[in-house]
Amino acid sequence: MKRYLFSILFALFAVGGVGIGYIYSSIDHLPKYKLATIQGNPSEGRAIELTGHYLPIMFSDALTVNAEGSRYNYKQNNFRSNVLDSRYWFLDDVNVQQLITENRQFMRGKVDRGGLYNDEKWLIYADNTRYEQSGDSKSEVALYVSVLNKKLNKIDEYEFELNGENNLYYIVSDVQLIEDQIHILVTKAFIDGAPDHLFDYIVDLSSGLLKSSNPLIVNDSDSVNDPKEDIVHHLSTLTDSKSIAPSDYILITEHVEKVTSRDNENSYASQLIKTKYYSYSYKTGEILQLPVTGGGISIPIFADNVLTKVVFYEKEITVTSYNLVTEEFKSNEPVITAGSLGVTSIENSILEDNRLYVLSERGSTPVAATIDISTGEVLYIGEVVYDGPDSEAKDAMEKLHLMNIRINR
Amino acid sequence: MSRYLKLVHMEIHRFRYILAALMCIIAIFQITGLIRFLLRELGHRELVNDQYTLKPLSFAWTIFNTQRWFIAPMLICIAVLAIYVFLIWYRDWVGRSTFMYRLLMLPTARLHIYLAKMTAIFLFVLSMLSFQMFLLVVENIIYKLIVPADLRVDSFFSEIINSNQALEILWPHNFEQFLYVYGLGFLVIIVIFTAILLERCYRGIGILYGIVYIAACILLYILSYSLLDSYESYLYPSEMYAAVMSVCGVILICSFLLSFRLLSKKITV
Repeated sequence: MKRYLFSILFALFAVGGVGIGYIYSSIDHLPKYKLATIQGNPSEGRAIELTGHYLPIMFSDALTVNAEGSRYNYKQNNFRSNVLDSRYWFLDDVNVQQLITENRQFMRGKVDRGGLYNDEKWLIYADNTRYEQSGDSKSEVALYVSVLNKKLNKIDEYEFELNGENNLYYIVSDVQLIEDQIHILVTKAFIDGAPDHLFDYIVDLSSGLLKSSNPLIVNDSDSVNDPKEDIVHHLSTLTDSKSIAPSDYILITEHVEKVTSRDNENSYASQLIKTKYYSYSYKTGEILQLPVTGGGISIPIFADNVLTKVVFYEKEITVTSYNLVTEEFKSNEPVITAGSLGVTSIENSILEDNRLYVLSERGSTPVAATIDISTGEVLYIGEVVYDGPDSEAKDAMEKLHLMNIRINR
Repeated sequence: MSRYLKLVHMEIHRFRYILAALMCIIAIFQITGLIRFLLRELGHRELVNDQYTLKPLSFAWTIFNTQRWFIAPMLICIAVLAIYVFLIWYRDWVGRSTFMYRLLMLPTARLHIYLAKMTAIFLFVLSMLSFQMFLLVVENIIYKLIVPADLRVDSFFSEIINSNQALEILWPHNFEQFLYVYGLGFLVIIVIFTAILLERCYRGIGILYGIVYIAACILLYILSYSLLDSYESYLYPSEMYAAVMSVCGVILICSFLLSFRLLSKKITV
């Protein structure tokens, strides 16, 4: 046994050293925080997650704080978590997860939430595919449509050729099924800043034939580029927040920007001049400009035929809304003020499911609040506290910077 | 089991002086670099004492400013261990009375020879890691002895690891990531062991077999990894993870089985 003593100790040192190192690293952890309820119903704040950084003397560490505690990103990241997080923008959606559970085979290879349509009978997916050809300025771009008949469990697939010039790209923004016609809303965007174009490609559900591709003309007189002014128009679409479900409308946002400096044809800096909103009806093909306009730091949400724009300033949050069906318009109605929340400033907010979630600051302490958007009632207020000895609290809170709020159900 | 442990003991015993030398090199380099920097930094702070308000001197900042003193000896160790992955086999064939002949004639399963060499390499790598962690503790003590209390500030363990580019790679913060990184490293060693045995069994043509075997394993691994990069992958993330792990498992099992078969039936001395 004495002969082997060195080897035994060596093996213990090798394995034990690594084990002790990892045990120590779990004990010597960065400060812990949590979101503590100070007013209202704790269940209204359970889904709130605040993200930001912990900034000691050297290096910053990204973290997330919620009612259960804090999680540092560096401790969570590993090969498995990185693989499982792939396509998170699509696969983390609750509606998409439900579709995957119900139609696992059909949902394989799908990557874009905007290309999905789901109702009781049909599940449809549309996307574009570019086939690169070297040496040519033009490559093949196809609009690909896959249709699942849920009752018959039958999948039909169609492909339609699009213009494949290399200076433009396509984005499928929305898919709707209106009276046995599949409407695929496609944005044709140019790399060099030329105006975007929207097209409604209409495919017959029963035959699979492309019936028409209708350009959506958005306020034509304003959309022409003035070369002297170097104005660019960007179009984007705003789908119903439950975007996979049927909707008769889609909203179009037009950002009019003035180019302030241009590095080359495709790279430039610009300043936003104005923002306009339009509605497009799939049934009638009508495009209407809405009375809602841009301005301030805002989050537009379109749900149940109502466009709601939450604008947050340092001291208050206001809401502008327009109902496409009833044409009811409410402009800049104050929802909440910093004073009513008992905070110094409002930093960020998001709107989800008729709830306004606000991140604000009281001095240097991050505060989160949940407000019912329809009544303005404050349902929950919580503040971030240091989960440790009081003597270290001041230093720990000074090094904490939380900038974003999100909802994780 | 006892025969296997005795073989492990023999492998550790043979390499002990080189291991000790490597540890000494690491210690000398790192401690020298640390002391040099601290003395220079303290001298600089004395010069500018009242002119500027300087931030406290942290251990993590010290490690950050002695990158080369830390990385250079680590690279030496990695190079020596990488060479020894080959030498642990080839040294047994060198010399007039070939040691491998005696090993193969031992009244023990030849599998134990293979496992003992693999275990030895495994322990050498872990011992270098453990020594580095131990050295960080010692260096922290030296830092506290040199830097006055009013000029220093504590560093978190994660800050210390993040301060050095090599430590960040060699000591993953997440233990699961540690298993992936070093698991992949040992898979590489096992594949190399198999290639070495192919060469030893078939001599001239065996070199080609070994190279082809390594290339096939790399290709298989890259093909599985390409699944992860695919934007429109047919597989879901959980399936991709399972596929990559399965491929690694297949490579591991094939390498083991091939190695055992070569050692049992084909090896020549």
